[in-house]
Formats: sequence, C-alpha cells, structure tokens
Amino acid sequence: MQTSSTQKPGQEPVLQVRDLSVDFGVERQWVPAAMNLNYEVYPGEVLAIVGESGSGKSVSSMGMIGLLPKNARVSGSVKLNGRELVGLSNSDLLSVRGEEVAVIFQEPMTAMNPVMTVGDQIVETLRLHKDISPDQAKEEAIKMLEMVEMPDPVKAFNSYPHQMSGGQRQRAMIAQSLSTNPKLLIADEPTTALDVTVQAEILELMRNLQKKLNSAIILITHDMGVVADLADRVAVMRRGQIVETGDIQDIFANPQHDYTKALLGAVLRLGGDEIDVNAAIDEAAENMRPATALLEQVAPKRQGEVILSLKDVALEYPKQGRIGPFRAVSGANLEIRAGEVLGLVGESGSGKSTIGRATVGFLQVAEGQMTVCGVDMRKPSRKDLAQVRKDVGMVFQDPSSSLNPRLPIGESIGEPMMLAGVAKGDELQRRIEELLDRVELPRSYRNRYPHELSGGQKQRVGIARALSLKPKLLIADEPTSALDVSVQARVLELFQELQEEMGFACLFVTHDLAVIDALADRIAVMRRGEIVEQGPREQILRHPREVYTQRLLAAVPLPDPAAQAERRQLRAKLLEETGHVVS
Amino acid sequence: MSSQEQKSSQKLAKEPTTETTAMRAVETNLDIRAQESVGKTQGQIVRKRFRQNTGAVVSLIILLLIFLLSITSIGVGPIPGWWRYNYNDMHPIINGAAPNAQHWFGQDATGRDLFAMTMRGIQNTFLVVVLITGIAGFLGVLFGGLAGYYRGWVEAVIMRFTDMIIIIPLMLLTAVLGKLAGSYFTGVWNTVMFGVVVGLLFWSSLARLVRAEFLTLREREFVDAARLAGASDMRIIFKHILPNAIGVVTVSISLMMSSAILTETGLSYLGFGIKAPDWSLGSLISANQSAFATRPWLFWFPGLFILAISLAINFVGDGLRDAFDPRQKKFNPKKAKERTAHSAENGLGIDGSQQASVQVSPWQEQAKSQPASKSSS
Repeated sequence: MQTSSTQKPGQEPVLQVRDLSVDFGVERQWVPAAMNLNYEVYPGEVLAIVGESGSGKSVSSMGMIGLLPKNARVSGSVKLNGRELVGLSNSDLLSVRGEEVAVIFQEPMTAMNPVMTVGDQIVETLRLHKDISPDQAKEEAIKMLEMVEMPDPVKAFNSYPHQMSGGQRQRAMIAQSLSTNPKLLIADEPTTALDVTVQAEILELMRNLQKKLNSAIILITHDMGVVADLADRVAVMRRGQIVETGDIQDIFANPQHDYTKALLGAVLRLGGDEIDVNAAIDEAAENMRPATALLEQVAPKRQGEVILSLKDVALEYPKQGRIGPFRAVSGANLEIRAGEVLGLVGESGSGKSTIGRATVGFLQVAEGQMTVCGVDMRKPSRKDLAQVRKDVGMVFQDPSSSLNPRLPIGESIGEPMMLAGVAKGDELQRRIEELLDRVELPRSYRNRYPHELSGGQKQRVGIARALSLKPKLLIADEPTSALDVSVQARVLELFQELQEEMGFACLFVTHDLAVIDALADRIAVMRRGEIVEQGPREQILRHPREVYTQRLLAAVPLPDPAAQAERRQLRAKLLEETGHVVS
Repeated sequence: MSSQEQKSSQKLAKEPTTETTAMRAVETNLDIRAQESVGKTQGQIVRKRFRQNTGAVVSLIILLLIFLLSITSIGVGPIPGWWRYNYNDMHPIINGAAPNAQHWFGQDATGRDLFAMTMRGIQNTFLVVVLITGIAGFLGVLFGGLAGYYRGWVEAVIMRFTDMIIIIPLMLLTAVLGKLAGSYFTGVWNTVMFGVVVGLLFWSSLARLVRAEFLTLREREFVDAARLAGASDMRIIFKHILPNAIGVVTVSISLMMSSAILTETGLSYLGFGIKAPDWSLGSLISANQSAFATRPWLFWFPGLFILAISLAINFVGDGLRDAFDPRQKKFNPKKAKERTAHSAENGLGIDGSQQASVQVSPWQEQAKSQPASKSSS
C-alpha cells in the first residue's frame, strides 16, 4: 500500500492537471470555485483531495469530466493519458465517462436508479461500453459483484437498491464503477454517508481492489482518518486553491502550510493522548479484560440528583395507516445525574435520537418508566409537559433547519423566555444579549436572519436558545455532525466551557465516538434499539466489554497513517477472534 | 491541537476574553464581506429580485394604470370622474356609433357610451377579483394549514371536503349559486354577493398547495424547537410555519386572480354573473356579440382589457414565483463580467447559491490562538 508513493519519474501520469479553474456564473459575475489547480495522478496511486465544504474539491473533479451545470466554466488543461479533456464536446466525453473515468458518489441510494435492479444497472454500464451479449454481461456483472465481496452475488444481482443495506449499495456502486476497468476512479466522499463500521469495511475493500487492479484513484474527502487509511499522496484544498501537496507521511508528520496544520489540529482523536485505544483493541482481541467487579471498584462514585432516568423503557413510533407501530427502542436503562455528560453513541437507526426526542415528550413511552427532572413521562399531562420543557433544552442536528428562516435570531433565542413568561421587554433584550455573549456571538447579530450566518454561528444560536431557560438537562442531538471539522472543534470547545460553567446535565447523542470522547463523563453504546454497554468513559475506551463496542472502537479511523495501519491490523485480528459477520 | 491540549489550555486560561475578542474581530471583518446580504430580510431579497424582472414590473405598472384609469374616468359611487358620460345614460348616436373624439370607444345600439361601460366593467372585475381571491385565499390558507399541521382526522375531513368541491364543475355550481344570490340583491350588492359566492368555492386548489407546504415544513427542526419553547399550536401555525409558506401562498393567489377574472367574465358572458344595468367585461361581450360583424369595436375593447389584465396578472405571478424561488437563476455567460473573489469569501455556496455559509473565522482565529495556548500550558 504505502510502497512507491513518491512520484515515479519513469512512469507517465494517468491524469495531469494544469491550471484547472472552475467558475460559476452568478448574476453577471464569474465566481471562481477552484483556481489554478495543478496535480497529477500516477497509475496505482491514491491521491486524496482534502478540504472543508465549499473548498472546491468535488467541483474541480466533476468539472474535469464535464459533470457540472450550465452556468459553470472550466478552463486550464486536464490530460488523461495524454488526451486533453477540457473543451471536449459532450458526445466525446461520453466515451471518457464510465469507460476511462468512473465515479463513486457519496450517497449510493440516490446514485442508483431505484426502479432498476442492481444487476441491470451493471449490465447497462457494461453493454454501453463493451460489445457483449446480455448473457455475457450478466456473467461479468456477477463476477464484479463477487469481486466487491458481496455476500450473495446472485441474489444481489436481482435485488433493487432499497432492498440492500447502505454498505451493500456502496459495494454495488463500486462494482458498477469498476466494471469497465477504468484507468481513473474518482471517489467523491465514498464513505461519508456510511456508519463507521461499514466505512471500515468499504475502505478495506477499496484498498484490496486498488492493490488488485492497480488503478489510479482520486479520493475526495473531508475526513483525515479516511485519508490516513487509504491515500498515498494528499492535496489540501482551501477556498479553491491547493495550499499544499505532499506525500502522506510528510503531510501528517510535517505539515508546512498553516491551514494544513490547523486542519490536522482540529481533527478529534478518539481517546485523546491519555488513552491508547489501539492497546485497548489489542487487549480485547486477546480477550484480556479485567473483571467487571474490579472495574467498578476503580470507577468514581456517582453523586448528585438523578435528572433523567429510564427503567426498561420501550419507545414506539405510532402506527400510520396500515403500517403498524415501529418499536425503535426497547429495554433501555439509563441514568443521568446532575452535572453529568452522558454520550449516547450508536450507528444510524440504533434509536439514539429517539431516546432524546422522548425525553422532551415528542414521543410516547410505550413500556417501562421514564422520569425527567422528577416528572413521570408515562402519560404526562399538558402541565407536566410544559414543566419538563422548561427544564430541558435541546440542540438540534441541522443548524440550518433548526432556526426559523423568517425570524431574526434574537427572536429565536428569546422565544422560550418570552413564552415561559420569564422576561419581556427590556429585560428580555438584556437576557438575549447576555446569551449572545455567552456563545461568543456579537450582540449586533440579534437582528440578523439565519441565512446570514455560517453553519457554526447558527449552531451557536441553537445552543443559546437551548440554554435560555437555564435548563437542568440539555439534549444535544448530533449538534456537530453537519459542521466542518474546524468549526466542529470550536463548537465543542464552547459546549464544554458552557457545561463547566453552568453545570447542566447533558445527554449528548452522536454517531461519532471521537466527538463524544472529548466531552463525556459516561458513554452508552446503542445498537438496534438496545443499549449494549454503558459505563464511565475510561472504562468504555480502555476496557470495552461487548464485541460490538470493540468493533466500533476499532472501526474509527485514526488521523495518522502509521497508527491507522496498526489499528487496521488490530481490527483484522479482532474480527478474526470474534467472528466476521456484522451487518 | 489534541483534545488533551485543548482541555488543559481551557482549564488554565479559563477567562475566554482574549480568544473571544480575537474571534469577534474576525467576525466583524466578515461583516464587510457579507454586506451584500446583511440585514436583509427575505422580503427585501424577494422585492429586489422582483424588481430585476422587467416583464413583471412592466405588467404591474400596466395593471395599476388600468386600475387608475377605471377609477378616475367615471368616478366611484357618488364621486364623479373626468369622463363626461356615464355608463347607463343614452345619447344621440354620433358618427354611426363608431369610435370618435367624443365617444372614444364608440357607442352601442341604444347610444350608451362604450368607454364608460368598459371602465365600469373593469371596476366591477377588479372588485370581484379582490373579493374572490381574498375569501378564497383566506379559506385556502386556513383549511390547508389546519389539515397540514394537525394531520389525522382533521386532515381527512378537510381534504375529503376539498375533493368534493373539486369534483363538482366550478362553472355549474357558481352559476347556480351566483344566480341564486343575484336574485336577492341588486346593484353593487349583487356584484359583491357574486364575488363572495365564487370566493367560497374557489379555495380548494390553494388549500391543497398550502397543505403540501405545511406537511414538509412541519417536519423541520425549527417547529420542534418552537414546540419545545412552549409555543401553542396556533403560534406555531401562524408565526412559524405560515411565514415560511408565504411564497407558495403569494404566487398561487396571484395566479388565482387571473383565473378568477376568466371565471367572472365567463359567467357574466353566460348571463349568470353581473347583470345589466351594471356591467362587467364579460357581460359587455355577451351583450354585444350580435354586433360582431357590424360594429366589432363593441366586442374588441372589452376583450382587449380582459386580455391585458389577465396577461399582466399572469406575468406578475410568474415574476413573484421566480423571485421567491432562488433556484430560478438567470445567467448569460456573454454578459458576465470578470471574476470576483472565491465563492467562500463572497459569502456564496460553492455553486454560487445564496444560502451559503461563510465559514472563515475559526481558522484564522485558531492559527492565532494556538501559539498562545501552548505558551500558557
């Protein structure tokens, strides 16, 4: 993998990009999205283009093969095996796309046609580019599905995209892209939409295939962990320009540009510097774990009033029409005490957000007993519910959706206080200013509308609103998952400051172990509607008991090539010890 | 900055002042950059975009001119206008009743002045259209909003009711009810009642649109946030959701206007709407249809105004729709000027979209704060 990653003088590059610029026309102006990019990709090499949202990393790659809207303008030179791509007509580009350059998109569900079977889509690709009979194409398609390690290739051939899991869909997508044996593969955030354990599997698959097929890959991503796992060389993009290009080792060990340094600095590392997660996985793989009784002795005593408690709670989404009720959570036991931060970790569909929503009464408790700030939530009266909602604040996932676009942010922040009758008039304005100070936003922002703010700023407003009634419990539902790494780091820092200052208890729901690791006192791991393991942060990270937790830890990629290589091996070892099948 | 360093630096340098000030400084710089969109409400943005649409603005001006012409020429009620004839007095026929300097639009067979009659028709048409769209708009928003927000049985009842109104041919129903209403009232009240009756039957399509809009908006997180803040259902519907659906409502009401005009003229033409001695544009055409071959101007002038008004309203409606929908972007590469700064610095999305986020600050701030936090720890 990391063999000849330096530029090979003897070899011709597969792709040579010179002065590539992409502009978009907006209201009589050309607004550049990418400027004067220069790079080349050699056969058998993985070039990672890293950057935050809006840096032009996807746009420049799609521009090369003419996949941009009409108001885009591409200039410069892109040579694929010596053939110039910029300026080619669409019909000429048709033979390039799919045959010589293939693309793996971020979201396999939307990238595949829902009314065609996976097999038909691969056959279509094959027959468009090769002169073969349908039977031959089918045979080849099944061979491709086999190659991407699909559990049952024949069954997969006949399934529709919605019948597969996310990971399987992405495998099928890869099979389709590779079916024409392209010289260059553009992978545009190929694992961003996937859960972390599935991501690890897909990354492993891509590494194996890359070795086998010796094709060149452009990997577009924002995730430094994915880069460390797969790339040979890295190009860092910022605001349309490549600020630094280099060997993977150099970039991680010795970054030159300030932006690269900042980007690497902002990446969260699971376990920080104190806990060696690799060692923990190693131990787990060797099946060495101290006895639970021993761990409980070491664990710090929990004190304080119980703010949230769940006893054998089951949560259901009510039936809609003929579709029966859906049980999202069952048998959940959980306890949060005053001042504690509990991280609720799980993959998509594990029911973690459902618990958060039930806490504020958006969802009925089907079974068991749930108490929030002393109020029984089984059949809460209107008054009880109002009381609970005063004591509980909530920060939502998507900052652009959680603020009313037609309300100035000052009004959004002040609404809970105004409706609760806590303050009004000048007093209300004073409190709003105070809250804006708290979340480090200028007071003048009070009169602005959400669309004038950046994602990070919007999330600060969301936090200010959640804290406006000085809640005893704060529910944070993936508050940073829609943000860029750098912004995420700042928001988490702020969150931590506020938590220490105001001392509220917090249920922090997330899919990203690294995010919660920096904040949580305790961690609970959820899987398929059940809490599989919970305990103090150190215990979960150092001595994970359950197989699923161990796998989750092992699947988180490390933003460090050497350590990631080690973790990869440990993960393989762990999977061998505990059996393979997961999803 | 590893997480441990982050923690230690925070604990040591607990006073967030330096960092905060640095950050504020950066963010005020941002202000200058994003000035384009600063302080603008969505309404202001929509108005700006509407003004850039020449066709819509011209149409709006034409509409206003027609309205003013009809009001000032023959006056309203007891207030006289500048035109010397009124719409039901008979005068000696001049110039074979063809258009001339005295009677601009000519005269009908009994010597009535067609200009005054047409102006009266325009007044009545405007009155009826305002009544229809006002009532239908109110009911459509109310029913659509309630159905979309509450779902369940409320939705079922309202939507089945809507379906029922949709399946009955509108022309037939309004004809019967309009006639019924007309038989109890006379003069202006006849016109008003006609408008009210048609308005009561016109809201169904708007209700469906509003319901669809509410169905998507109610799933947005800001609605959850409002509910969490303790907002009542009515507050959520009218303060939080409705302002966000205003685009759909405005556009479909403006398009509803032109179909209201056509309905009114159609019904009046058939003799069910506004009746002599009062006039509407439709009844003028109907009354003079036999003269089409001999005195075609009796037919042409009212027809011309129907065409002008409904076309203008349609253009305005289209203009509003384009202004409300940011995806409708016009771009002509030949007209484009030189390149500007990168999209991120312009406060635009990567493809130039407006809702862009301006995420610049943390970097500069972090680069600055890093050496400082290291020295402190």
